[in-house]
Amino acid sequence: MDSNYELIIGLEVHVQSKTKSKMFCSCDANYFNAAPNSHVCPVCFGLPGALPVPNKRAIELCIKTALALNCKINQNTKFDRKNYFYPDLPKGFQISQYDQPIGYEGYIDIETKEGKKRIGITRIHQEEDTGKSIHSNGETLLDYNKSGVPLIEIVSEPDFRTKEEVTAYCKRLRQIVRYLSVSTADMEKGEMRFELNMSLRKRGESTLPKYKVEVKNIASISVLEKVIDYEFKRQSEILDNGELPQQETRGLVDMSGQTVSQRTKENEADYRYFPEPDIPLIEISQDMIEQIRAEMVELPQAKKDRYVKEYNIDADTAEAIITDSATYVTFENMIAGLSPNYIVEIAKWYTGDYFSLVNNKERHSGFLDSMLVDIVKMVVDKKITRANAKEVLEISYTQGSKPEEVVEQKGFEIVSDTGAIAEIVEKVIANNPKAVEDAQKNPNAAMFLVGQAMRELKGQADAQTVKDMVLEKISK
Amino acid sequence: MKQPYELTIKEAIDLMNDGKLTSYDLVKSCLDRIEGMEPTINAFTYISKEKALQQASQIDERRSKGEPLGRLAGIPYSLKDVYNTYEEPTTAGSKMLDGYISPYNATVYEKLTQEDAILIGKTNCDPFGFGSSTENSAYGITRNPVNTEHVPGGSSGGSGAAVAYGGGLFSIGEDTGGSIRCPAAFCGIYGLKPTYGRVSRYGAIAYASSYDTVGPMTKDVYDNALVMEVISGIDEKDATTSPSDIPQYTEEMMTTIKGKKVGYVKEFMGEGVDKDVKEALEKALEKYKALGCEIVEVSLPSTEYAIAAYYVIGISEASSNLARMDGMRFGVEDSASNWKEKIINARGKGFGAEEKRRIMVGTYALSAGYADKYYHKAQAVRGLLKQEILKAFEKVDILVTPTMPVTAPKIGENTDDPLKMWLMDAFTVTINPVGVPAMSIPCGTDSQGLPIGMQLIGKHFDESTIFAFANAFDSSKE
Amino acid sequence: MKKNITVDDVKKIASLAHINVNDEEAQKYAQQIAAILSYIEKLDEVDTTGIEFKSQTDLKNVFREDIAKNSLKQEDVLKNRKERSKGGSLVISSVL
Repeated sequence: MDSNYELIIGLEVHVQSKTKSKMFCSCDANYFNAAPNSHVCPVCFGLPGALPVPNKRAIELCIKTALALNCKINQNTKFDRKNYFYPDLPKGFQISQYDQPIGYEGYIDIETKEGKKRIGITRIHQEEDTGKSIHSNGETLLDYNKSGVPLIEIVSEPDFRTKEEVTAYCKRLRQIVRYLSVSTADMEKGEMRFELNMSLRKRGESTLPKYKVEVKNIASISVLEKVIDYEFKRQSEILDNGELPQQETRGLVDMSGQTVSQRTKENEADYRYFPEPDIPLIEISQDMIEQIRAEMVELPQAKKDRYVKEYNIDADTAEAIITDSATYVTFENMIAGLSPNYIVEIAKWYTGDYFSLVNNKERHSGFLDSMLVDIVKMVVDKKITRANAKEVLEISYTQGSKPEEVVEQKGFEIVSDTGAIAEIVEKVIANNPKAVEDAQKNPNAAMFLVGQAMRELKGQADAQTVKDMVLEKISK
Repeated sequence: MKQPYELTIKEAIDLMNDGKLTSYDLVKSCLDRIEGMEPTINAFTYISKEKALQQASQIDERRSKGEPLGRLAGIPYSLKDVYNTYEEPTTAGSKMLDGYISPYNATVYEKLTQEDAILIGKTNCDPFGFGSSTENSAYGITRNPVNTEHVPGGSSGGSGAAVAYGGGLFSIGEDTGGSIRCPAAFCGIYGLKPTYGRVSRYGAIAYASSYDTVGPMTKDVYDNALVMEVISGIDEKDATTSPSDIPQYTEEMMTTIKGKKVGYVKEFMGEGVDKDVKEALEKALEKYKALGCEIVEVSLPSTEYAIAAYYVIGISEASSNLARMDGMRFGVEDSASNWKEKIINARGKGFGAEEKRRIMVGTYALSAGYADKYYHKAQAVRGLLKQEILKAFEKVDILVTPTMPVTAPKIGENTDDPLKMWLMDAFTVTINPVGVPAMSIPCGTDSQGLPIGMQLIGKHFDESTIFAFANAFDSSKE
Repeated sequence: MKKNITVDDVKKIASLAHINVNDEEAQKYAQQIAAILSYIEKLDEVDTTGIEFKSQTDLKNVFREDIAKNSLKQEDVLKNRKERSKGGSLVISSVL
C-alpha cells in the first residue's frame, strides 16, 4: 500500500464473555445451536415489568480484561442506558456504560515485521448483546437467544497505521481473552466482532483527518483486512479528486470487503444516555481488583518474549507455541525441569513433527507427551539420528509404543564405539584409494568416503564423528 | 350487619376462622357487588369469576380439613392492571397492550398467592400511570363510588374505587407520583406508598424506574399493615429491593405516638389548598396535639420546583421504559413492511395523547443539547429536595400534609389542561424522587361529602411510625 | 419565557421517539408541549451548585451469581405473536 496516503485506524472489538448465564438474567448464555427463542425470559425479551440484575462473574471478567490490557480501573462505576430502536433490541435500549467505563487509558504491545508497537486502549466496558435477525425471502426472522449475553467492548486509540498492525492486534487480543478464559472468541460463532474507524491523511501530515468512516459488524479478521483494502481504495480516490470522504457509518453486503453507505438518520443517532436506574451503583474495591489480578496468567507477548530470551527458541517457533492455552500448557509441562539444550530442540520438534502428526494422524491412547520428550532427548544426546527419531515418533504416536522399545526393536542405536567406527573407516579407506587421494587434495571430497562409511554403519552413527575420523585417518 | 363485601380483611379472617363465613360466600358477595356496580363505576378491566370461586372453594376445603393456611387465606383482592399475571390479561390501561397476555407473574402477585389471597380482578388505571384521574385510560373512565359525577383520582383510580365500593377487600396499587395516595384520598380509603425498595417491582410495568413503588390500598390501617407484611422484602429479581428486615407492622402500629414531633409543611398549607381541606388538616393537627405530640412548622423551600423536577426525571425515564412497546413481540402491531415504519405506526396507534405527550417531552429532555438543561438539572434539584426532607426529619418524626389540595374534581373538569392536571399532584410528587414512604388516610369530608385525605410522610423504611400515627388518629375518632 | 415549539419541532421529537403523529396531533401537541417546557424552565432558577444526585438507592454492588436457570418455554415467548412465528423465530416482513 505504498501511496501518498497514510492509514489512520481505530478499532472497536466486541467480545462475548464465556459465562454460564446472561448479563442481566439467568438464562443460559450458551445458546449456540439451541432452538430459536428457547433461552429467553421476560428480562432479555424486554417484556414490560422485567428488571435487570447484573452477573457478577461477567463484571469480574471485564475487570480481568481491563487489567490484562494495562487499563486503569474506575472503582466507582455504573451502567447506563443507550436508547435507540431496532427490532433485535427488545427493550428499545441497550444497557451499556457511558462515562464511567470499567477500564480506561490502557495499552497493548503488538509485534509486526517492523518490530514492536504500543497501541493505546481508550476504554473497556461491559454491555449486553442484542437478539439475532436473519433475512431471507423478504422476511426477517428474529431470535432473542443472543439478547442479553454479556459483551465486553474494547476501544482502541486511532494508533494503527498499517493493515499488519491491525491484524497483529486482533490476533493478540483474541489470544489474550482466550488465555484468560474470558471468552472462547470463536469468530464463526460471532463471539468476537470488529468495528473499524478509518480515515486517510497525506503522508507527512501530523494532524488527525477531519473525517472518520465507521464500518460496523465485521465478523472476522480476514474480512476486516478486505474492508481496509476496499476503504483505502475508495477513500484515496475521493481524496485524489480533492474532496473529503463523507463522515458516515458504512456497512457490509457480503464478505468481499465492499462497504455501502448506511446514510440514514440513524447515523446521527442520539442515544440519550442516562444512568440505568434499575441497577444500583458499583464500587470495585481494591481487594476485588487484587483478587482478579491474582487470576492473571502470563500473557502471549510476554510468554513469547520469555521463550525467546530464556530458552533461545526462535521467534516463529515461539509464536506457534503461544497460539493458545492448550498448546503452551502442553509445551510447558513437557519442558518442566529440563535443561535449555533440550528445551530448544523440544520446541522445534513440538511445532514441527509433533504438530504435523496431530493434524494428520490419529493419536494412540497409549502415547504420552513425555514420549516426545524422551525421543528428543535421545536426539540431543546423540543416541539416535534425527531421521530415525522421526520414525520412532510416528510409531509411538500412532501405536502407543514406548520409544526405547522401538529404538531397540529397530536397532536404531547409534554406534558410539569409536573402535568399531575406526574399523569401518579403515576398511572404507582401504577399499577406495582413488577417493582417498581426491580427499587428501580437497577435504570436501571426503564426503564420499563418509557416505560409504555411513552405509556400512547402516546410518547408525553420528555423521560428524565419522567425518572427523575419516579426515583424521586420511591425513596420516 | 355488614355484607361480606363490606368487611375489612381482619373482620373477614376472624369470621372465617370462627366458621361464620366461607371464602366462597365472601368472594361471591364481592363478585355480585362488582356486577351491580361496574356498569356505573367501571373500576375493573378484567374480572376473574370462575377461577376466583374455584380457589375460594379449595381454601374452604383446606380450612375444613384443618390444613395450614396463608395469612390472607380466602381474601379476595384486585391488582392494578400494571401487574403482570400469567393467566389474566394485563393492559396497563393502554390500548398498546390490548389483548396482551403476559408469560410471567409479578412478584407481588406470587407473594399474595403464596398467602392464599384470591385475585378477583385487574383494575382500571391511567395508561402506564400517566394521569391523576383515571380519565386517560383506553378502557373508559372510572367513576368515584362516593359521587359518580366525580373522578376517583389516579392513576390507580380503579383500585381506589374497587376498594371503596367493596369489589374485593383490598387492592395493590402502584405509586410513582401519588397514584396510590390520590385515589385513596379522593375515594376515602387508606393507601400507602412504601419506601422505594421496600416492595419488589418485578413484574410491575414501569413508569419511572427510580420512583415506582408497589403498595396496598385498604379499608383501614390494620389491613394495610397486614398486606405490607406479606408483600415487603428483598427480591433477587429486583436489584433495588432492600435486604433490611420487615418489621411486624401490625404490631408496630400500636406504638404510642405521645411525645413525638409532627411537622407540618409550611409550603403545603398556603394558597391553592381548598378551604375545606385546610380546615380538615388543621383539625387533624389539633388532634395529634391532643394526643401528646409536639407540632412543628417545617419548611421545604425547594418544593416549588419539585413538580418540575419530578416530571422531567419521571417522563425521561418513562420515555425510555416505554421504548420496548414497539409492536414487535407483543402489543398493538402494524402491517408496514419496513421495520421502522412498523414501529412508528404501532406506537402511533397504541399510545393515547397523554402517553405521546409524556414520551415526547421525556425524549426531548434527554436529547443531545437539552439533557444538561433538563434531565441533569432536574436530578440536581432532586438532590436539593432530598437534603431538605432529610433535614426536616432531623427535627420531626413525621410530616403531615394534605394529600391533595382539592377534593375529587368533576369528571372532565381538567381534561383540556394537561399542565393543570400535573400541578394538582404538588404534595404527592415531592415524595417519590426522595423515596420516603407516605400514606393517605381519610380525615374528613368537604361540604359536598367528598372525602379529604391526610398525607403522613415518614423517614426511609419507617412505615411503622406512619402506621402508628394513622392508627392513633383513627382510634381517637369520636 | 414562553417556549416556542413548532409543528416541525414536534415532528422531529416524534421521529426520535418513533411515534407516529399526524399534522392535527402535532398542532395540538405543539402548544401543550410549549406550555410544559415553559413550566419546566423554572428549574433554571434554582442554584444547585455542588449538589449531585447519584442514585435513588443507597444499595451498592447488587449482583447475581453466574448460575443458569430455566428460561421461558418457547410457546410462552411467542404467545402474543402466535400467527407470526416460524420454526420458533418471530417473523416480521421487512426491508432492512
